[in-house]
Amino acid sequence: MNKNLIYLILIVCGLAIAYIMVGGLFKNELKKTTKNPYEYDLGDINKIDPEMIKYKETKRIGLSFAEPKVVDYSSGYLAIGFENQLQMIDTSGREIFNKAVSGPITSLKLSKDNLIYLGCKNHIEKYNTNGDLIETWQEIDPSTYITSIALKDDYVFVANASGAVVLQYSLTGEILHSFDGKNRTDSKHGFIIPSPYFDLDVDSGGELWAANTGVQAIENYNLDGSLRAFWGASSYDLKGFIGCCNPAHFSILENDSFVTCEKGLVRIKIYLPSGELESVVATPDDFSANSIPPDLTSDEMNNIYILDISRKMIRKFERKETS
Amino acid sequence: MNDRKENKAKSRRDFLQSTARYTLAISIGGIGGLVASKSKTGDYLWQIDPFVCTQCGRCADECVLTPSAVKCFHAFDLCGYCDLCGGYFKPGVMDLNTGGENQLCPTAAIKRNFVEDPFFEYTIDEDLCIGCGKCVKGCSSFGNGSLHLQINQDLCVNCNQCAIARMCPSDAITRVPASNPYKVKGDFIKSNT
Repeated sequence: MNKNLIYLILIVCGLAIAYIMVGGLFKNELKKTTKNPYEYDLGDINKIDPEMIKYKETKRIGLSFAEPKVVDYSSGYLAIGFENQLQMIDTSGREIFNKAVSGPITSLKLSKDNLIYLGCKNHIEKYNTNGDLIETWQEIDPSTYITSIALKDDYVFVANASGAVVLQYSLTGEILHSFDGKNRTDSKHGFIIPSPYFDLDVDSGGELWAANTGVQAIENYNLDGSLRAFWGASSYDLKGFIGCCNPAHFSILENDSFVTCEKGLVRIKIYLPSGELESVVATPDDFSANSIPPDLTSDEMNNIYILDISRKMIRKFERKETS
Repeated sequence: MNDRKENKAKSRRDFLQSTARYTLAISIGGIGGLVASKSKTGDYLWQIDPFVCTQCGRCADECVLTPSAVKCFHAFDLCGYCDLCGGYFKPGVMDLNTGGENQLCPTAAIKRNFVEDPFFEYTIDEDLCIGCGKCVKGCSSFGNGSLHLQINQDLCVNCNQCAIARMCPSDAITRVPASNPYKVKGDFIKSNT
């Protein structure tokens, strides 16, 4: 046989083998990027009417420690709880102090007299504004998971998400009372807390409000633990809260409106004291995909401070000026 | 001359004996190796890491079985038993009822049962589930992520090279010991990965 013919056949065979091998590789890559026929389509629920967005972002404060968890504001200062670090800054971002703590920090509350109540999973620690530890209250039990602290006159209310109860403490750390929200006349269930999101706050009239996340409601309780009022609805609509465990966080503004934060589709919204949706502060587009629901707080001017956990920063939102 | 012939004959006999011996040894070794490798393969099974899975939808289509051996599993201890379940309802539905137009699952494999006010339980009909992961995405978007995909080892034929693993964009499917064949959420936590 002609030598050249043999070479030609060998080259053709070689090229065919190379094509099969390389083509196979590319085919694989292409397959890896093919469209998902079962794509989960959010549709229009993450689209928010721009008219509803009445806040704008005006400041960002980068955080220097890992794993920010919680934030609170009082009298010009912001206290930030990290996994094992407590930091206090002013609203310009200047550090007042930082202190390593045993942690893990799961909640935080700044009092008007600038004491810091730190929820460390199953107990409370109290610090002054120099970062000095004043008191450590007795551990509740190992399974306790403190998710929120609220202050009213001479009482400290502590939300325990694992037990779905609110504990009422004296200012010296003595447990006076606890309630699970079940002593209501119109329903059998009390607090339903499917995940560690169980927030509390007190309004200007001294009323205690709790986020009953399992039923997507914010509820008002008397000191004896009886339900006074509630609002909230489970809905994909902007007016309601989606899915379980929402609102994940809330804070009461100076005018007794509520600022809420949802997990899943992270939406920050303002509700009037009556529970009617008033406006939107931040939309899901303002946060990274799959963001942890950010803790939030507000100042005397009703500016909102959002702890963006994914981006490790505090983001300040101010109301847009109306013409 | 005779000695040389004798030596040559001995060498041939030795050669044949040696060849036979080595052939036998190699055969036994080969069979032993094959058995060992088979038994090693049998000790490992394919499984999905639910914390790595991105619910790309390939599990439904790439498995050699039809329907796929990948099924949705429900970690009930993580579930909120919500009325508005992101894994059950299509995003944006207004009426929270079991109407087909409201259901997210393309094969209606999730059953919604009223437990008591305000709780609803969601169970998976494995015969209908195709392992597309659509409900998993919905659950993790709005809920606690209690729904997750797992390879049902009773159905899986344990291919030498899992067809889904080959196509998985996040490399969520790996071999796991047969003694611990599932990575069910709740028992299996992210820190274990």
